[in-house]
Amino acid sequence: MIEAINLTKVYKDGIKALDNLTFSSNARVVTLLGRNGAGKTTLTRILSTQLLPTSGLARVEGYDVVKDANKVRKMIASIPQEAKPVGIASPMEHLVMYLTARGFSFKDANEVSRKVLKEVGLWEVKDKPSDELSGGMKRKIFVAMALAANAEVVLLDEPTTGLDPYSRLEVWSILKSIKSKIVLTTHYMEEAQELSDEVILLNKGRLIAKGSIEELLSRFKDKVRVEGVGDIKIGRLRISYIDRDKATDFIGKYVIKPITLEDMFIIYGGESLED
Amino acid sequence: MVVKVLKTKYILAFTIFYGYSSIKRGFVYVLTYLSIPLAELFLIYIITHGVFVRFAIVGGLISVIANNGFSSIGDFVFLRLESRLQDLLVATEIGPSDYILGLMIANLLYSSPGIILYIILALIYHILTLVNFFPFVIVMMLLLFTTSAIGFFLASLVPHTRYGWGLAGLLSSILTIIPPVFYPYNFLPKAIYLIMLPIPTTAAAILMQGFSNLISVNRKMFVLSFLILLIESIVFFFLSVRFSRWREK
Repeated sequence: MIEAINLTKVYKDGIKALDNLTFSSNARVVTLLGRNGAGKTTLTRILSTQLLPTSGLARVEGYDVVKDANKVRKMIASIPQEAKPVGIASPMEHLVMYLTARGFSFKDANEVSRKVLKEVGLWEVKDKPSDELSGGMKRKIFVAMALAANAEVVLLDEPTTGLDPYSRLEVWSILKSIKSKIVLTTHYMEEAQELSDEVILLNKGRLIAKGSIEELLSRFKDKVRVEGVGDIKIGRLRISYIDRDKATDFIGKYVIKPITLEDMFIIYGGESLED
Repeated sequence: MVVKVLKTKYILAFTIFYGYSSIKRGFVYVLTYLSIPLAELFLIYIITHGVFVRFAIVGGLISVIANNGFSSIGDFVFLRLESRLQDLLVATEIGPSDYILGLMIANLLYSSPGIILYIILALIYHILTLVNFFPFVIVMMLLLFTTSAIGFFLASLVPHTRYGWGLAGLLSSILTIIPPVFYPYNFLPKAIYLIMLPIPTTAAAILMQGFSNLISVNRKMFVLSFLILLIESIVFFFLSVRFSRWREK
């Protein structure tokens, strides 16, 4: 279970990244959604023991991330946003180094690395320097680390950013095979839809909504999205959300679509995405 | 006890990951490490008609070791801000001391061709003997420890990657050229070399110039230089582990 109780983070420059955030989740895959600056990465870094909160409490599997940081570290694997492999080192060297940092013996680290590199499709390039690999392969090194760690909780901050659709599908299939609990941060709605058991929607460091995708969508089952008219502006696009029974007035004039997770993101974002 | 507390498997794995892989796949960097001390050796040889070549060899050895430590600023900054490897490792069982030692030994391995070359030169020129071998090694280890710890501490203060390598280069140049690393320390007025004594390369140079009988160093100066280097290695390592940026505030 991951928990936050009145969790607040104020950076040195005065930016409040998390504002009295309180939630708990015991879902196998919980996805943090929100616009840039919503506080997703800050929350992930606090849960990963990489960053200290300003106030409040955060727990992973019952352990306080500040007081019991060493116990938390034993049970998590955290892949930071925009993590890049070291160009001169090979995928195999990355995995062995990471696993020994997690307390594996050399023998086990080598064995597990070999197995996982085969599983994620990096076996053929296991000894190649990482700077000779494609973007997708580079990203897969980190996914392989998360898989190899065999941690109780895996925290992944935007694991598929910049990947082509095929590589993204590959990463999704790997993530689905991980037995651990996963805390996922993403900007991709389809990724959240594909992988999440529960979604936590953040805006300006506050909890906006929490629940399964079905639960969240069911709150808007009587609404539809109308494109071309409305107060919400996203670039040149105007959007409004109207009652389903009033949609007939718009047929033929505007594009009408059912509500998706993307709309939840826009609605719960609370304001125009241009702001 | 210390070895038990430290994550030795990780340190070894990191040495292979960052040091051995650099030698294997990026040999041009190894040559870069060597180029400046060798150029200085050449210059000193030409200018002094070979008279100061033994100082230049001792200086080259100090320079390779010190550059190793100072250049780790660039590595630490890169691994923290660009590759995000530090974040990845913070969330594991290792601590900052394992991390610093891992990078220190990786860089030592990486610059080992330079060290070996200078050791060969030191043997050829009878600078390094059986008598002074262990004192030499101890001074080199203390210097490496001190400069690496300074490197990690300063690196944690660097806010952007673009400053990392620049600062590393600047410190390497200033702290290996201005202090009496490539020339006899007593060329400087006493007041100046005493002011420079807290610079780890100065203390190391005085000790090594003395151990290799290049110059007469009195007992007081020996003890003072050694104590400075020893205390600095402990204090800077403590400061870097305790106060540098590992888990971010």
